[in-house]
Amino acid sequence: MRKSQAWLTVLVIVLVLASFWYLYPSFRLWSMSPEALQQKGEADPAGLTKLQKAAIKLGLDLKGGMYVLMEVDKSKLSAEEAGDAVDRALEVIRNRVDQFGVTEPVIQKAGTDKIVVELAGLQDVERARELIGRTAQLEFKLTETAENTKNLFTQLDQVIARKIAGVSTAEQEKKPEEKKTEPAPTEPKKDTADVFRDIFGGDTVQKGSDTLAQLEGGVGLSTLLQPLGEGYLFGVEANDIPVVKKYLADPEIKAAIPSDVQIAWSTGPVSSGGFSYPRGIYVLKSPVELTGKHLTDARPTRDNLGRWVVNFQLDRQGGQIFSALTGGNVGKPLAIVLDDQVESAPIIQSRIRDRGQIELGSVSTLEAARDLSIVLRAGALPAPVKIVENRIIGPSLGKDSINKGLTSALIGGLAVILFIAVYYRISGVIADFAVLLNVLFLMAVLSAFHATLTLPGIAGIILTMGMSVDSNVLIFERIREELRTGKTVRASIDAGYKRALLTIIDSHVTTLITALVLFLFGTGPIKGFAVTLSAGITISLFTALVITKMIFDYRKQYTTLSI
Amino acid sequence: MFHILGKTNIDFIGKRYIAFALSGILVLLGLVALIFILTGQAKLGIDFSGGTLIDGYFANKVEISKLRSVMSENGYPDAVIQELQREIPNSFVLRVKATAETGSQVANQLLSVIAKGFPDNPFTLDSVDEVGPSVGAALQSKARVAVLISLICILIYIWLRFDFRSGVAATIATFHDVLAVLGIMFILQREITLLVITALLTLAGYSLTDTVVVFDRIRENLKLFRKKGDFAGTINTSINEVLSRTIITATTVFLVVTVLFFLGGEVLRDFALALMLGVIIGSYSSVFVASPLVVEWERKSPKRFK
Repeated sequence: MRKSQAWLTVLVIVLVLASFWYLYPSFRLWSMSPEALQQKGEADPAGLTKLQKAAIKLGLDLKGGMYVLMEVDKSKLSAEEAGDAVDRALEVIRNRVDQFGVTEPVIQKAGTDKIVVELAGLQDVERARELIGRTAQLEFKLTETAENTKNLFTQLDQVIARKIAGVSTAEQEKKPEEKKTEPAPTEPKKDTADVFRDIFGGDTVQKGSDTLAQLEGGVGLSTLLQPLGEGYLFGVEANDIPVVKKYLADPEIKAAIPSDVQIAWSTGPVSSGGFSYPRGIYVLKSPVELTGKHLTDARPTRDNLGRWVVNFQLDRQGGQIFSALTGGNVGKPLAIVLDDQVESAPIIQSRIRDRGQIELGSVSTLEAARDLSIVLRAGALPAPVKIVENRIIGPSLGKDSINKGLTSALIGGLAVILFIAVYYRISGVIADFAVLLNVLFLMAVLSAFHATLTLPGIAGIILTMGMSVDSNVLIFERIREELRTGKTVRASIDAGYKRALLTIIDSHVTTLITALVLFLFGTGPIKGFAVTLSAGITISLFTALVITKMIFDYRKQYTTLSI
Repeated sequence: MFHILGKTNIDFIGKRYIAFALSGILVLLGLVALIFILTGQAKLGIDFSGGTLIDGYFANKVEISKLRSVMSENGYPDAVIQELQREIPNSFVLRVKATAETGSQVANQLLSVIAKGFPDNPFTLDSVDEVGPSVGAALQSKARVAVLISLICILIYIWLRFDFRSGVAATIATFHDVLAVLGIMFILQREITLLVITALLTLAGYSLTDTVVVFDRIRENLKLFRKKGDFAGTINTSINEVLSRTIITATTVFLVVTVLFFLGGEVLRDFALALMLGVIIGSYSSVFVASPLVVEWERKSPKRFK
């Protein structure tokens, strides 16, 4: 053996050993049963994290989880605020996710105004989505007096009545002309119902025409609202909720509400004196007395009735404001408003300094209390976010994909190996050895560079097994041709390698170009495919030109060649 | 030595007019598909079109017609519903078009409609894809840029490595392959997904490799046989010489993508199908399209290869 050959042999052995070393953590992690994994997680969490970090990362499509792409709505921000809004939102979301407790979350900026969140192996995606997407703007506001509230609704009812009447008469004036072309008489009542639909959109509830009848009798919004307690709170029946929502969204009605008054929905059911309604309407004074900015801590706890509530702690300045606010309004309700919805409005019993309690308006569970605590601690998003893309992959689907990928890789690889061995005999076995080394090196490279393995990535590995044989096929065919012309084994092998070299490089470059473009433009899973394909193709160049060549150099001394 | 083919001497060039006719039809098909895709009339995957897709299975048997009527009665008359053939019985995919709300609520609404319509038959969710209309549109333009740039890069490489005529012929053959596969996928009513586009770009690389191997040999042989003068004959010999390599490599790649097609699962099926078609058409085109084009050009205006 020549000196250079000896060095090459050592190099190959070192590479193989290094590959095994890089792949060992993945092998250990993946061979663990779920029970063993859980045990390890309890006994040695730091060790498990280390193992997970060292192993090949699996993409969301393989391990299951949630992918969310959010757009930060900067439309209502000033230019100055908009500047770093996305970065601030990113920070807040990161805080929330960290406290939610998901392993290895991915939270990244995408483009100029989007944020990507990837959470693996989630059980409750709905909760997670709520947690990261919520603005969580906490405000404390006082409620409006009963008298002002009453005046407001009288005014709004008039606006509504006028609006309906106005449109109706306009419609009736138009009617005679239409009748000329379409003689079929129409019932006036149906006409007004149509008008109603025109104003408030197509999908009004069936109760719509009843509501309209009440409107014609001179009442409006206020008939849909059932007074509860002190005049600032009203219950709304389930059937009436869409109608009330549409009333409140109407621009003319919105314009009629004075700027110092705010009408806000409750987050959950409201009740008073034995009556209970699924949702409620609060009438509040607009000025914000205190915001969540002053919160230093929020924790879930149980109140004396055993319900889950959130206790909060204010900073120094917040405590001063809160103390003055509560001290000056003892006996009055204080609305706790979260994202423009009223969570609850407890009556102020006495002056409170820097601690308070938020009753959960919606469901009073530990989870709800904990999630609210998390978003309050992490702070509000600087602007609302809109989810523009959302993908959820169930854990069973991920497992199914892994199994299918592995089966395909095994059977596909075996088919290629058998075919090449049968066709090229001992030379074929050498090429097969190269194919196996290809896969080993490829997996090791993925592990060493902390690449993420996705289902298309597995497809890339499988495709590599089929394509990487090509270099050896080109060489072998060339050697066969040379042998056919009567050359010696030595001369044929030399000529085969020499003449095939240029073609092999050409063919690799063309495949690499497309893989590279796919990498630059592809998203998640496609990137995975591009990475495995291009790495696999490059590695096959090495195995064909260095490793199989090494073996063939040794075979040059033979008088006949099994090829 | 074990051979599938011995030393062959098939007259590929002589059959070029049959090949040109067949390729003409395939390319035409591909162009039609391309027009349909660009004007938004083809079946585009959810990544490109935007929309909401949920995928899961019922505990007990469900008639697809019942599911359809439940969806249309509850405000989703346009929902596309498909029963999936897989190990888990009663698997369905539901898809609705993108709306302004897509991205936050639609999947939930679909699930609650299902829960209401089939109260005694729980539906287990496998996956959700919600893609807002703006995201889909952005991805479409991204895919277009990717296809364009990779084709331009390939062109530049080919024109650097070969003479002008071979470059043009190889480019035409590559476009031919991509269009032919696109056309067949279109005829088969397959959805054009992100993975199908990925497969098309991969097969562009593969088919070009095939052509490059043939052209390398042609160039080599032309140097050797320059004095003998039979241009078409030299090209025919070159094709025959690399034919076994073309077939062996096509076979190994075809083997693995066929395994992927049958065993790789729903997600990779169309991807594998496009590659299966691509391997066949790519090998065909390097023999029957790229080289005959060079011959035809030489016949029309002789200018010896260098």
